[in-house]
Amino acid sequence: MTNQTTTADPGADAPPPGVCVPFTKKLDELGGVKGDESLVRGAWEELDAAAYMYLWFWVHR
Amino acid sequence: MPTDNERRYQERLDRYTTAMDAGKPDKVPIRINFNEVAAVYAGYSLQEIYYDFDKNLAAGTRIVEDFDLDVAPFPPSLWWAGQHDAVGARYLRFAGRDLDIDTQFQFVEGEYMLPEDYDAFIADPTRWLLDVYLPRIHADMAEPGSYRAGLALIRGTWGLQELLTKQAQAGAAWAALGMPTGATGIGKAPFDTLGDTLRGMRGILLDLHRRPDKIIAATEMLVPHNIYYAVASAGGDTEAPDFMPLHRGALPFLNPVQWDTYYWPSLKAVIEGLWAQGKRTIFYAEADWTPYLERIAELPDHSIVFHVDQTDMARAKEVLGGRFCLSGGVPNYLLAYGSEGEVRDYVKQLLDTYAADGGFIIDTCSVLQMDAKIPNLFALVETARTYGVY
Amino acid sequence: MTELTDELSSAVAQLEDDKVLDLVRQRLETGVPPIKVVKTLQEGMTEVGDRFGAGEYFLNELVVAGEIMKDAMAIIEPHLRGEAAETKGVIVIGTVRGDIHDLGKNIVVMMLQGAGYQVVDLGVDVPAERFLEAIEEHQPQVVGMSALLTASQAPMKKTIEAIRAQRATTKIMIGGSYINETIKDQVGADYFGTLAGDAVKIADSVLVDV
Repeated sequence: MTNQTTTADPGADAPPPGVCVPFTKKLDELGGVKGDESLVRGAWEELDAAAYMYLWFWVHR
Repeated sequence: MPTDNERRYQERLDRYTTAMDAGKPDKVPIRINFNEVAAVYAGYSLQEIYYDFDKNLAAGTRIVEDFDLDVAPFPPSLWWAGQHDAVGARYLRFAGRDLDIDTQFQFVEGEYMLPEDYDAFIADPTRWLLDVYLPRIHADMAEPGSYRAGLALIRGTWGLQELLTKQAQAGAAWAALGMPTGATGIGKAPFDTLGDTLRGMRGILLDLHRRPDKIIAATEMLVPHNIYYAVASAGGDTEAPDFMPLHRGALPFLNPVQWDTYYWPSLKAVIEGLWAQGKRTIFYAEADWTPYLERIAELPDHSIVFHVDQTDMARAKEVLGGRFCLSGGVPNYLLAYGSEGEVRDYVKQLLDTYAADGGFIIDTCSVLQMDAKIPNLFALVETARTYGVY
Repeated sequence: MTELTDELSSAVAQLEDDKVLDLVRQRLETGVPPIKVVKTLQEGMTEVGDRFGAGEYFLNELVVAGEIMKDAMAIIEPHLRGEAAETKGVIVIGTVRGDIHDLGKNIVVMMLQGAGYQVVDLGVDVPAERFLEAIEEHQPQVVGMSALLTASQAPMKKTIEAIRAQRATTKIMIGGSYINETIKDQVGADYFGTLAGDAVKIADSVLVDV
C-alpha cells in the first residue's frame, strides 16, 4: 500500500498518506547504502507506514 | 473435497457479494452487528469485554457459532480500554473505569483541534497529530519528550499491534467456522473526520459560518488520507467492503447548500477513490439521509452498500435500487420493546417489500444497544433465514 | 414567519453576530434597560426556532444562534445587577445517568431560554438524586430529560419513579431522536419530543394546563 498516488497537494513539505518520513530523507541521513537499497527501503517504509497508522488510528473513529 | 465449513464460507461469501453487486443471491444475506449485546449473550460484563480483549473476541465467537448470519460481526468492542489507559486517552469512557460496569462506551465530544490549528493541520497533518493532537488527547503524552510521553507511545503502539493481531486471528477463526468477514477497514467522510474527533460537533458547525474556507481546504487535504487509511486498515483487503460510519451529513445538521459544498464533494472523492482500487464502501448512513439520495445516486454502480437507518426506505429503493444494494431495515426499538411475533411479522413484511428483486442485506437500523432482547434477535435471524429464500 | 421589526431581533434571526453584539452595546450605552435588550434578543431566538421548525434553518444555524446569544448575554449580564428577567416558568433539565451526550439537550436549553423560560441545566450523566435536589430547590413547572441512547431507558425510568415518589404532580418531558409514544409510556413520562422545537411547545402547553 505504499504505491498510492495522492490527488491533492496539501502542503509543499507534507509527505503523502502512509508516510511520516520519506525514505529519501532517511537515505540522506544514512549517506547512501552499500548493499541492496530496495531491502533497506522496504523495511523502512513498512515501519514508517505503521507509525502513520498509529497516529491516524486516534483520529479515524 | 471442501469441508462443510469451507463450503458454508463460500456460499455465504457468494450470497453477500451477489447482493452487494445489486444481484439476487439464493437467500437474503444477514449481516447484524451485535456489538456489546454479544457480551450479554456470552455472559460477560461490559468491563470484561472492554478490558480483556480475548473475552471480547470469545463473545464474538459465540455469536458466530450460534446465529446463522452470513458475515461475522465486528467484535463486541472495537476498542481495547487497556490501550486507552496505557496512553491516558481522554475521549472514550469505558464501563468499569468511569462508567457503571454494564454501560456501553461513550465518546466524549470535545474541541480536540482548535480553530487556530487548521493551518498547521492542513500543511502537514501527520506531523500535527504527533506534535499537537496526541499530547492534547493523551494525558500521558502531555509533555512531549518526557519519560512518561515516551512510554505512552511505546505502550500505545504495542497495544495497537496486539489488538490488530488478535482481531486478525479472530477473523481467521470465524472464517474457519464458515463465516466470512462483513467489513474490513474504516472509511470516513472527510467532513466527519474533522467533526468527530478533531473539531467536535459544535466546532465544525460553527466553522461552517466562521471559517468555511478552512473546512474546504482541510476536507480536500483529507481525501487521499482517508482513502489510504480505509485500505490500509483493511490490511489491503478489497474483498469485503470498508465500514464508513457517516454522521454530520444526516438531516438536519447541514442545509442543502452546505451539504453540497462542504460534505459531499470530499466524501464522493473518497468513495470513488476507494472504488477505483476495487474497495467497496458500506455507506452507513446513521439517522435520516432522504433528501440526499439523488446526490448519492451519482456514485458509480455498486460502489456502496447504502445502509438505511431512518432514511425513507421506499425512497431509497426508488432512487438507488437496481444500481446499489440496500441494507438495514429492522428498527432497534422493535428489538428492544417488541415481541418475537412482532419481529417475525416485521421481518416478513420488510423482505416482501424491499428484498424481492435482490440487492438487499437485512440488518438492524442502527448500532445495537444493550436493551435489544436476545429472543428477538433469534426471531430476526430465523425469520430472515427461512423466509428470505429467493 | 413573524415579521421582526426590531433591528436587533432581526439580526439575531439572520445570525449576524457582529451586528448583534454592536447593537447590544449601543443599546446598553444609550440607557435601554438590560431586561428589554434580553427580551429583544429572545424574540430573535424565537424566530430562529420557528425557522428551524419550518425546515428553513438546520442544526448548524441553531448552534450559531446559541453562540451569538451566549456572547450577547456575556455583555448584558454585568448590567443586570440582580434584576431578574421575567420568565414564563422554570424548567429543570438534564441528560440521564449513563448518557453523556449533550448536543440535543443544549439545543433544547437554548430554545427554551430563547422562548423566555428559566432553565436549570443539570448537565450530563445526571443521577436521580441530583434531579430530586434540583426539583426541591427550584420548584420547576416541568422537568426535562434528554437521552440519545436507547439504553438510557432504564435509568430514565428509575429517575422518573424517584421523582414521582417525591413529588407526584411533577410534569416530565423526555426528548431524543429515537423516542416515541411506546418509550414515553414505558418510562412513565408525561410528554415526549423528538425535535428541537418540541420542548418549547410542550412547556407552553403545560403552563396553559396548570
